[in-house]
Amino acid sequence: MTYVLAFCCAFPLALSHDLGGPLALVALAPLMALSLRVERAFSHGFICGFAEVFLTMWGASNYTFLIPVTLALQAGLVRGFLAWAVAWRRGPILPVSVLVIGQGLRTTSVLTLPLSCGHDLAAVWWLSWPAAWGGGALLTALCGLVAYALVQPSWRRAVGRGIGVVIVATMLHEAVRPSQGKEIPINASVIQGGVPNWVYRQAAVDPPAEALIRDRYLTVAQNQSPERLLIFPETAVRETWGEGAMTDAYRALHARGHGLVAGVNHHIDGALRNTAMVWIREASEPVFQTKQTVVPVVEREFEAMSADLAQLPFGGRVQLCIESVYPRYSKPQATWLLVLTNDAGVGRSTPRRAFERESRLRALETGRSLIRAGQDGLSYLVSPHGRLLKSLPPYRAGVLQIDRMPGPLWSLRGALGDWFFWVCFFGVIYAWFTRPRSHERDASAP
Amino acid sequence: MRPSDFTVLVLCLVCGILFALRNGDVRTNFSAAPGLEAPRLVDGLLQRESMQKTIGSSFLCRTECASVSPWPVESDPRSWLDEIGQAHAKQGIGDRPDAPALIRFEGRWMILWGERSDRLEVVVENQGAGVWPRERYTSLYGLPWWGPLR
Repeated sequence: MTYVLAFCCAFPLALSHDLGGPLALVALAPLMALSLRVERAFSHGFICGFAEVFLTMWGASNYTFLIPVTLALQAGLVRGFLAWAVAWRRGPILPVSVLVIGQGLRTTSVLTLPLSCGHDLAAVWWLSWPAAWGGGALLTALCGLVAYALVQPSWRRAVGRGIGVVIVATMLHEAVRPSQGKEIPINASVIQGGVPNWVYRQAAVDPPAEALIRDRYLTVAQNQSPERLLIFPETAVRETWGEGAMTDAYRALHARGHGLVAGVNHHIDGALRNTAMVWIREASEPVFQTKQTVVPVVEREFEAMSADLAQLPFGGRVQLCIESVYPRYSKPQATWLLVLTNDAGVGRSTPRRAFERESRLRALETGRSLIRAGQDGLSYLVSPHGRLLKSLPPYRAGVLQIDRMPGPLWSLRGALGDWFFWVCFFGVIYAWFTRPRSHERDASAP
Repeated sequence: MRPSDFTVLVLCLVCGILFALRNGDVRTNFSAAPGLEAPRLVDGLLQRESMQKTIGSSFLCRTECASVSPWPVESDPRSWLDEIGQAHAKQGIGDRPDAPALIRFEGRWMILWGERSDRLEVVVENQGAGVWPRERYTSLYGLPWWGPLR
């Protein structure tokens, strides 16, 4: 019966990844409560974590069966260690540190994925403010602390004080952080095709589908004023650069005076690369930034390649889809960030909403305005504070007109990197060698 | 089960129901535009209704093909390929057909137009154009094939 409960504990976590927002603060509480009452806390946590991620990823049908299972196994291990740490009853430092470390390790490789309650907070911009100085790791810790306080009443006062410190530090950080530049007059048109993935999947053998893609991107682009920077999502038109109508259309747009940034497939060094084509208005030829990491299985047509980063107008940097999910690709040296994504590839499933929140988190962590161009939405402009300033509704075609965006802001997270993650290693060591508080009450006690 | 366990279980189940309601249609294909309805699975081929009319000669034609038969009528398709402007296509070597290729498959002709990471783009005699799951690629091993098509 307790294993059934462990499975059910995954539901609030999965719903949190779907909805985002304040549910994330309490979504870990059922698992923590269960961990205090069962003998094999690790295996209960493992079942919960496995179910949490498998349910969340299941809807991303293009990710086959292998990817959800791989990610679910990792999540099972992470939640298993969390449950074990809670069951040790040594206070909140050990479980919260284990939670943050486990979460941090899930952002290290393309074979992992940072589905996280903490990152879910980014759905509500003011809830995610602490990320500006502590990063996503601090948000994760906050969720762990709140859940722990719910199941361990004796720690509520201490946890409350800790959260109060975080709130004060966040306000202080907001008050003193200096500006690092002026407003950016970007004058961009972000084109969202609103094309579902099945259209792309069969466009090669379905002429009306192919025509729709060209109509939604190339025809719409031709209707924009020549002075505007045109931004297309990742692989908006699925043709290889150098051959076919897409190349001709992009060349014609540039000849009209447009600057262009578009996801295109391009043969470089003998292999097909998923690239961002950056074609500054003044340049005679485009430059291509290759995707540095590709999704296993789903993107096996492509080979990853780390090459020079392309420079966008006004000192911006571009990221291709999953690169925005991993913090290490978001460089604070940029004055603004651009994410090109093919979100239609995961349908209308939960990961799509979770991935989108990662982009908002990158804006907060780096203190940079961020434009996200999605094939099927969400396309938006988010401020360095994580607030959506302009957006297009999902699953529809549209053009997001962005004339100006806020200039860069200094952030502690941007300056120091993921410092809170490393602090948590000391947290584990400290908690390991500290005697448990004698007055800690068992939450399972009547 | 203690009352507190029961309460937690109920709250978790409510979350599960909400999650299921929000994700019930994640694998549904939605129409892309007026007149471009979502594809359906017909005899293992994912296609829209109008794609059932796709035939080999019109799909591959690079010349004038009004008088050419929809598919090869002989076991050797070279003369048919000549007629539709695909004279460069030769009988393939090796067990695995290289897309794009014309393949003799289960007594019918089919065009393997694209081999992608998650699917095969095909045109099948008497079925039309559509998408096969990639797993079916192994069923094409060892069959006679001609390519490359353009």
